[in-house]
Amino acid sequence: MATIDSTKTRNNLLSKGFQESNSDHKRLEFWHEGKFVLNTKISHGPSHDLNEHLIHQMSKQCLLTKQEFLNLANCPLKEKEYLQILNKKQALK
Amino acid sequence: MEILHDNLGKIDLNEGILIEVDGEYGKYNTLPIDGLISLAQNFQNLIDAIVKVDLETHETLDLKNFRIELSGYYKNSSIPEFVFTKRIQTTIGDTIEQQREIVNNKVGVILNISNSGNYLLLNDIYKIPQQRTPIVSALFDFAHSCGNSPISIVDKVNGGFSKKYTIGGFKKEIKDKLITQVVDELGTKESTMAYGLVKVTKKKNKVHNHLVETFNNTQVSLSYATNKIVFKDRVYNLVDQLSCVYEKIDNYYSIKHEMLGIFGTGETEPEAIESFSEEFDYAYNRYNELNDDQLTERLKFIKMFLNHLVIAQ
Repeated sequence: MATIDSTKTRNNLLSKGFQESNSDHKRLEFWHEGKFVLNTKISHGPSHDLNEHLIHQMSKQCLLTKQEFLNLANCPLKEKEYLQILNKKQALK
Repeated sequence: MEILHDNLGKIDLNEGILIEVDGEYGKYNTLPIDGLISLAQNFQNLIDAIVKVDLETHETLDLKNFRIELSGYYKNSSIPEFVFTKRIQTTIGDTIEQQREIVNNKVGVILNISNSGNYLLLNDIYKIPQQRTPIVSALFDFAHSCGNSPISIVDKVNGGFSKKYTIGGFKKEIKDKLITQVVDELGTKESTMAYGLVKVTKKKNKVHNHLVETFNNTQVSLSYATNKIVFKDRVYNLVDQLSCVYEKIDNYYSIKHEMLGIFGTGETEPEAIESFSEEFDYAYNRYNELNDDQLTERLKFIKMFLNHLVIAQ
């Protein structure tokens, strides 16, 4: 079963263009060229493993497959490559 | 043909079966560990082979319900006792009792054939080579579990033990006549998930689930439909039913509406519904906080759809 650390995931997503939501501290939002693209809910508080169903939910919210999301959260997938994926899905327009 | 019926008494693995080992293995009224392991494993393999062949047409089957466990040991030669596990896995369709009854009967028939020594009779009860081969192989291994030491099934009688079935004289030449070298398709079943229509019947406080139909088409899915979304103190009444895909994935539940980009998950069904409602609430409010020129085309469409969908809050 895949698990990833919540704090590490939050920090990695923040380093790849995500930003904390003003309205909900449990959410990270992804903006591109002044437009709101998507958001994902990530549990806040002490560091813990994100379980399978949260990884599934976050993957979907980030418009990624589970493996792509794990790569985004664990580092191998860079912001530039993520933008390419979103662009292919016409999610940035 | 009389021999094809268990005429020496019923086998009931729910109650237990006593397997006596004589000869070299059992002569000190003990049983070497390797003999016990071999005996237990080969008997389990025989049960598994019977389950796979004789319950092949049963749509809901869990091999774990046919595991045997050591339940006793008696010093008369050497007699371990085995019983069907009480660690039951619930299945839909036939009851476990019905499935075990079929297996018990078939074990009795096979042991009866062993007792007669005429193993070629296995050709009569398993006419299809692909079915006969795994049974014959498993029975041969079981009969030779303790080398040349004879194995018998015994009953407790008047404080002692009485032989019921003798398992012996199964020669390799006979085995080779019975088996066919075929690809063991029965042992390598492929499993896929499908949705099913289940008829639930209550009788005398017992619930029976009977599988009426399975839907194997991968484009078929379960649906979660609602015309009201409730999150905390906010209620969203919808103009029509919002139909979402509902899934059970491994050990969690998922409710999703791909077009709206709303996904809820949880370890239980209520958790998944709560999660979906929270996501709906966030999307509706957040997209309406922002001007259209702050949203991508995708989110503008979702905002428009949500605003059309919600008739009152």
